[in-house]
Amino acid sequence: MTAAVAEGGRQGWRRPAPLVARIVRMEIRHSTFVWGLPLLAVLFIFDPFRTASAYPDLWPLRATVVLNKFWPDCVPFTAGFSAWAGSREGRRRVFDLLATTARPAWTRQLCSFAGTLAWVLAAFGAGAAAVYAKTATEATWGGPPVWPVVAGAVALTAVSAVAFTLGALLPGRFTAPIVAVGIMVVVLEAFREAVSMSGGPIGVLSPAGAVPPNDSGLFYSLAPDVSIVQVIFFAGATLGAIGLLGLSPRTGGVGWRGALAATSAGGARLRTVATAVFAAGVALAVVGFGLAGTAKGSVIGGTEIPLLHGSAADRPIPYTPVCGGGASFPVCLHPAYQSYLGQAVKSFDLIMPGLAGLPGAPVRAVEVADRALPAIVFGQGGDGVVVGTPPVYEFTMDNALALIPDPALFADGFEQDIAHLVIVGPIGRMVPVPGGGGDEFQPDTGNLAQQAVLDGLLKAIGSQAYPGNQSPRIAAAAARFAALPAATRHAWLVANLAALKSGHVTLPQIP
Amino acid sequence: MSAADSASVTRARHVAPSAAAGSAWLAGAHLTWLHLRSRQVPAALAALAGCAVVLWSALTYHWWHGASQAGTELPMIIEGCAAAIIAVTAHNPFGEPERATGRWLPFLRLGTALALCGAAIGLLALGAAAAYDPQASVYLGTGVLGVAENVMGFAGIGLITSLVTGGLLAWTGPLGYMAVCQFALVANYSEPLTWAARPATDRGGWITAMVVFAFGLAAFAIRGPRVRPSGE
Repeated sequence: MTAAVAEGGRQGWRRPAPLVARIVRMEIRHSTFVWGLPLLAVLFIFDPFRTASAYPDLWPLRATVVLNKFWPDCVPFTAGFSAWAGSREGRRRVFDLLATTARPAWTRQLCSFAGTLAWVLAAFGAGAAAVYAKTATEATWGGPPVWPVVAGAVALTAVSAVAFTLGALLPGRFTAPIVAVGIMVVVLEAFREAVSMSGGPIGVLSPAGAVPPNDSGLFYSLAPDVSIVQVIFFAGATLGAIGLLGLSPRTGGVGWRGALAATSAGGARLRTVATAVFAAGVALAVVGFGLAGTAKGSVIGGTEIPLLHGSAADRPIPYTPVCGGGASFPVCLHPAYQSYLGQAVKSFDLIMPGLAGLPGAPVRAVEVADRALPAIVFGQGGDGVVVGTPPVYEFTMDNALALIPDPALFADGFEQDIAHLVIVGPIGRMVPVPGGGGDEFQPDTGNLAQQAVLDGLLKAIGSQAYPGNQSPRIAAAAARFAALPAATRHAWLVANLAALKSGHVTLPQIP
Repeated sequence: MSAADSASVTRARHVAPSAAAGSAWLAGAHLTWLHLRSRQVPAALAALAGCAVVLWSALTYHWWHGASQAGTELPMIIEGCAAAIIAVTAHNPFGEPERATGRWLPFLRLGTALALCGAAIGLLALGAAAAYDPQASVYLGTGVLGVAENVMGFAGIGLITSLVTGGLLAWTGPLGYMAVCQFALVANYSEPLTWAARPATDRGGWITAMVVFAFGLAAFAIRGPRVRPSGE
């Protein structure tokens, strides 16, 4: 054979993939996780995707669906199928048959784990991509947050690793469903802890949690502290589970005593690696848990971890407001809410002609961060306050825009809030609780005459009456006031607003 | 034949049927026991008892309260687990050859599934009863009715799944369906097809659950679980 022939023969020759890669590919092809994909897809469409589509088109808000909705949906499937894959050799009683394989049992098990994990992460990634793709077509400001996807992927990896290891250590026909349900219960309780805002480490470590306010991540950047701690903890749990798998005699390892004995079987390198991986995992998990225990509320909302919190995270994000409305009453919003500008302008355009020129009536409206408003306003469901000279209506979209937006409620909310501020004043005040025990909110709905004028103004523009104003006498006076021509109403208010606000106008005196 | 022989035969004719009947009963009991062991029913009963203990501790240690939405969520998960355990006992370790062993197999399958459902309902009810303390708001919001409806309905889905996937993977059906019902519960859906998210006294939910259970039980008893070439 000449050199030319040998060269020609090599042209068609391809270097085979490494053995481990071929085993992983084979495991991916034969993974039973495929059985769960159709059901997971149905769940995804009806739960996370539909929920995200209904939320306001804000990147930070919609991204929460990835962890709050899709992640818990993935957990039982991930845990069940991972435990199933892990228990395979024990379930089929083929330990003796596999004892002579060229690679250690740990390598073999890790290939099986990788095959299942590949499907889990592919499914999770596809779901997150679908939510983000939908948001990208609708959002007017910002970009896709990466941390929820990273934290979710690492947490699912940990769920898969723990379930796989439990399956390998306790093989049996009941292992998979029991492990799936067990992990599901743990996730549910951690979620409950997170929603209760107890501030404990378990709640902080739960990837699924409460839905943040609309403004979250718009005026101030979201600090990744909690996500980093979750990644640390779940990476530790993953390594701990994998290390345990390598050490366990059930899966070909040398056990605890063997790990510490220099002369035990199983290979010194394998023993060292498994022990090191386990120790590193436990250390990471402990560090993550400890860091989660130091969590505290952030001044800009959310949770911060002091050791990880950078001062840059609390700086406001620069933005150029988008403005609309006429020159008589401009309305400016954060660019993320651009799609709601038209509705906001329409709402103000209806109410402001009746209030324009009155003492204390604002000349423009500007959206601000919820934290820029008095705590009482945001905390008690108000939309904004009138401040400065000339007066400006500063409002937040947190309370104005519901999680599932309703255009009618959105418009009515602004109209009620701004009319109340001009006719009655602030929505209420905090008063000390008799006998001690802190302060409580005391709403200020105004006297009967103020309520009637307020409701009359709202009724005249077709808005709902101010919440709490239910008396028939007030309703009758409001109807009378609403029936007046707009110019007459405005002239009466110009002449009588000071007396009305000071309580010197009675219900019969309202025209 | 002598008179003595004749008497002996007569005695034998009188004695033999009862002895044969006794031996038939013994054989039947032995067959049933072997069937139960082959399906790992004792282990399943232990696992179901574990579910009851989890239910008891969840109630006693206030993992959730009362009859609110959250009060239905966790019991439903535990009922799903119980149904998944029942579904997994469908696995036949002998494969195809077992189908040729006689006419009693469908009855054994039927009896095993029914007995395990009864045991699951009883054990879960026992767990809930042990923790019952209405003054401390510790009680099962759905009552035993809800437990029975969900366990039987979920088990029906598991038995139907076993016809498609084989016994060992039959847990995917109840757990997957339970995940759907959890979503329906959170989203306040009220379709009969997601009966577990409806009140325990809802007639439509009960009809759906019982139809699924009856169909699953009948199909499983007659056909048996799918036997895959891998033995699983």
